[in-house]
Amino acid sequence: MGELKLVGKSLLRIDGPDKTTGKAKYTADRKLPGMLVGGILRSPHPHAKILNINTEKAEKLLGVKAIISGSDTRGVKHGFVETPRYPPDQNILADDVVRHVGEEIVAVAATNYKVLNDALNLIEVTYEVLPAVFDVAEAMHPDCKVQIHPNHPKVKDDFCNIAGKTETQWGDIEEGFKQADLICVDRFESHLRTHGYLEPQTAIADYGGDGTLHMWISSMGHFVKRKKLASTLGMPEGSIQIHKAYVGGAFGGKIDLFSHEYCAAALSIKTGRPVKFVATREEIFTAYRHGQPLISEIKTGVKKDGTIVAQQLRMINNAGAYKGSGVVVIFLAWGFVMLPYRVKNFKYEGYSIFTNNPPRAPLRGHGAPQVRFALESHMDIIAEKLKMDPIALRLKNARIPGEELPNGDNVHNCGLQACIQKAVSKTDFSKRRHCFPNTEKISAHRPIKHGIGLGVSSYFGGSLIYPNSSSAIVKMNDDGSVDLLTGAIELGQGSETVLCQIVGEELQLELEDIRIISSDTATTPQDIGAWISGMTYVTGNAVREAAGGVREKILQVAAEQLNERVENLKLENKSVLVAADPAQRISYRDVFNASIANSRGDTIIGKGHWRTMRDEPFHPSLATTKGRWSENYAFSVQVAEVAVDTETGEIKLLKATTVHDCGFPINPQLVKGQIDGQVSLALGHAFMEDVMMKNGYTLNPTWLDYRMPLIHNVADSKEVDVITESYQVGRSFRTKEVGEGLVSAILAAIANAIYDATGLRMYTTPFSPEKVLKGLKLLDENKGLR
Amino acid sequence: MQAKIQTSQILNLPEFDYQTPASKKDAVGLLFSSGGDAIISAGGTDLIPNMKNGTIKPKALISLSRLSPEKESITADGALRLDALSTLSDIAESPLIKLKVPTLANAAFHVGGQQIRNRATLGGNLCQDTRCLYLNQSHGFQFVDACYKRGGDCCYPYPAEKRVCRSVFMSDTAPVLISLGAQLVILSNSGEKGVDINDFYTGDGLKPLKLGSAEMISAILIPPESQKMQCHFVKATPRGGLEFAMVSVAIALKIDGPDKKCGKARIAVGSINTSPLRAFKAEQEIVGHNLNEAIAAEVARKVADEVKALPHHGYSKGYLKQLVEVHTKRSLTAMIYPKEPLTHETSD
Ligand SMILES: Cc1cc2nc3c(=O)[nH]c(=O)nc-3n(C[C@H](O)[C@H](O)[C@H](O)COP(=O)(O)OP(=O)(O)OC[C@H]3O[C@@H](n4cnc5c(N)ncnc54)[C@H](O)[C@@H]3O)c2cc1C
Repeated sequence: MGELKLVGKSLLRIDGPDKTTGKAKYTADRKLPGMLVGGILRSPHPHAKILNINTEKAEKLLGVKAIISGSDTRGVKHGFVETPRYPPDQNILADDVVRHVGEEIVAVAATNYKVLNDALNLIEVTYEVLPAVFDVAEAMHPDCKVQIHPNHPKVKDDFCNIAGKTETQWGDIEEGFKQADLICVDRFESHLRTHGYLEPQTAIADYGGDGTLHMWISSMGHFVKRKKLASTLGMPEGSIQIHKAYVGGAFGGKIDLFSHEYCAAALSIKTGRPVKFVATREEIFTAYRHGQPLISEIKTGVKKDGTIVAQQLRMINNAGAYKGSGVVVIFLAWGFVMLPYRVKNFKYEGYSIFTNNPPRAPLRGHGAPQVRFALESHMDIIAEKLKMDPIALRLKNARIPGEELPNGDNVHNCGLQACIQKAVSKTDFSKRRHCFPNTEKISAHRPIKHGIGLGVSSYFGGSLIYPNSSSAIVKMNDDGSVDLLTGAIELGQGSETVLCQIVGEELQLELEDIRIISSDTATTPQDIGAWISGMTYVTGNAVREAAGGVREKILQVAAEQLNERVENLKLENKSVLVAADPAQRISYRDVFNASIANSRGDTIIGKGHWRTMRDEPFHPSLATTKGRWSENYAFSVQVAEVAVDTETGEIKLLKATTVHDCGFPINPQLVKGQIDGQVSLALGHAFMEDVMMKNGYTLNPTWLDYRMPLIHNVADSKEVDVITESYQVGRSFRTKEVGEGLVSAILAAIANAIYDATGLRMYTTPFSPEKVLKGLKLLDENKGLR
Repeated sequence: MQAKIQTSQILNLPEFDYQTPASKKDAVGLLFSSGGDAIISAGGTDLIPNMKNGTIKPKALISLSRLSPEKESITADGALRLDALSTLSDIAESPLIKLKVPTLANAAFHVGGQQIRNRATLGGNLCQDTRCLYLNQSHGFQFVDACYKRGGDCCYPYPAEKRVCRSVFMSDTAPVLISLGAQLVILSNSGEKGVDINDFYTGDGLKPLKLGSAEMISAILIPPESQKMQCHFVKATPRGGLEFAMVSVAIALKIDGPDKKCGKARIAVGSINTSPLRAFKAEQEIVGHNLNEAIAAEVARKVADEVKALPHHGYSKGYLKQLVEVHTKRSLTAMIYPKEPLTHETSD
């Protein structure tokens, strides 16, 4: 194949100019004539019975246009997961019980915020406060007196408040442990973080006279939103049009259906006027979704040579008041455990437990950072106990190309072994480990210790979940330029740029010749959305097929016109020419006209579809992990270099090195952007971000007190791409995941680097200065130094 | 238990009257005639969020937005005179301030972010309200019952306490001005008076300032001898920017001769209690000594023992104490051995 023209190049983002000049329109920027503003009355209690709701006074207020409460909805529930095992469990607006602070009770539409605020203040709700439980250990304890929901009917364990369970095993776990020379048991815990998207949660609904419900929503996938709106509103999908708007970040926090989206629609239907909801930052911090705190209990048996012979795990997730994605994260946690290393005998149990906290959502990595932090710390602990090089231990067990996974998936051209080796050589890892503490940069009044650590991770790229498929259309214009119609949503990741690069490559067009029309449920085909880590792979291949369809037609028409065989033609500069005789050529414009004249009016339209694991009916079982999960796994190794101030406990991530098997980078600069973004996300996770909660209330619901890294906190981030795949025009390609998996190994690497620097093993996140200092003091005391 | 609660969470400013006097004199006149219902708005960067959160409910704002601050100057008796209306950006960038009292410029530079500093004034910084995680939010559906500070009858962090508020005073410039022995020029209808900044803070979280409802700070004077002292300021924060301090330490020392004998010392610690704290006893201990690293460590320990930290914003008392000690030690060491680069960041 010849050289690639657009794919594989770091072309500038096509949405860049709009965003940097402030022209990009987000949902909140939109104003429609006669638009009302909406707001939600929320529960002030973590657990309470609603005895009465009185909206009379509010209704009489001038400027209040509509008020709805639970009884005005159709009572159709929704949930992150909606399967027979895990049916939806959330009300749009509360029925008779509220189960977390901030739960939605009444929604109001008014002419302005002043009236809205007054109306919300005039609504009287009478509660009977119920006892509540927040801590996961208390909630699951068999004697727990608080029942938030009945236990899951299919889970028979003697625990309380079980939202769901994932259970799987292979080999013979007991026999495995018998073969082990060393058995190592550890427990890790990760804390509550939030997404920190800049654009607030927002929605506009306009139920105009045309019988269509028009909506603008800050979302991660318009088709899945539309599906849930349709089922809760009782409207056919086709009557709901979600329009394109730029999205200012999501990081997993905008997938679910949210009450304000339904309420915007219902209130617009009721009033006949457009209604806009914009959540305050405090509402987002206190009443929307956060990530998933996980407890990981691990027991591993190894041979003297490092071979893992048995591994048993129990993961516990504090799900909050509804299932949310809690019942998914306990499935995913299994996956993130089993991907990188071979384990012959294995047993896994994951529990998701209800508590009276707000429900949780995926947060970039969806369990992987928590799991890999635990597992990679555990690997270093094992290596030390075996007196073995931690790299050798990992190489011994790391997957090799072509290996089949226990669930029947295949790792194909897995680059993990290469990643480990390159990471080690790139950072001079083995030489620098263990040699920092007493050498570099120690001064009497600045006792800074340096350390280096490494972690391994793997992530899936696309799975089967509604709508299970992406389609795309490419249509040609008279002048030979094309329009790409795709449901893919641009939320900052660069999807529009990447998809246009693919079209450009297939048709040998410049980016200027491609217009993208995206994420509009009425004018673009179905798309999987930007939340299953498969957009470049799944939507990308659909787009490639659609563009390929156009290419084939162009070639066919040109072949007829030039009286040449298709194999002898090539595309160049919006023309088709005879490869051996470039003077013989025909422009796309002439091809277009010839097609209309000679091919029964065909205006040259290509369409494509892609479905991952096309022969699998469903996603794998969340209960048993049976069934295929993905056909496309990325692998990564990350190395962290840290400096620990042993007097203040402050830690700085000096350098992060990412070596990853991303398949083939369609746009290397965008891949780098993802890496850097994930490294700084992990840095926030490691050192400063912490949603502080007490009894279901959020103590730091502001940007001032929930600290995300600032630009000067961001670490030097370097990367090496391990290329295991290639891109060829006209052939399907296998790009691998780069948007979520790289938050994980780096977190583990930081923990291992802290240990290397100081001897302090971190079993819980965050690695806050106070915690680190406490740990260091304890170490000193145990050494008898103080 | 039954409870009836009305809630909302949309951040609206309540209604208020708004006046823009043409002089400070007119401003205090308006304060006086309002009979305590009006409040000054300088940059508004502390006031407006507090009004949105409902922690302050003034009937009228006397905005100083039409007044331009006088330029900083040296008075006849050698004091450095700063207008209370100077913005923190002005203070941070002023060549005269950088030359005479660099720690003040440094402290001003470490307040909030650039946009905040462009509006925030020095007077407002000294008069800002105390802070607490429970207080600094909108109370839409969380912590809706008003606490003592909000005029109610409870305390969330200390439920057993009666009518005591342990919210923390977090100004960055206050400890520095204390270390510099600053005088505040207080203006009221009856004219100007001087107040030692040491006497300006009450230590009562409910009413942290000794300032009458018809008074304002007009200017700040820094005496000539302080301008000759060696100074140091450190603001310890978790991420090094756009945030309030965990702990701040401001030190001024007179260090004489090759023996580095300490002739005078002022040590102030901010952000750990209801007012900035001064370590009077530790100051006494250091004066008369030839300074060295061992003394620095010893004095630091004494400072940490002397100033009492309240746990705040999730930091424990013990950790805050440790931070006071470490940062005092590092500051003193940096002052005693000034050849080593002076550092005011919290980490490398
Ligand atoms: C995001 C953010 C970050 C911040 N970070 C910091 C920080 O790191 N460090 C810090 O110290 N502060 C910080 N602040 C608080 C605040 O911005 C500063 O303290 C600022 O200096 C206040 O000045 P101002 O002029 O805006 O005061 P205003 O808000 O106008 O007034 C504050 C109070 O002082 C009174 N007042 C104002 N001027 C006078 C006067 N001349 N005489 C008497 N009373 C007066 C007002 O009546 C009011 O009660 C932050 C604020 C925000 C919003």
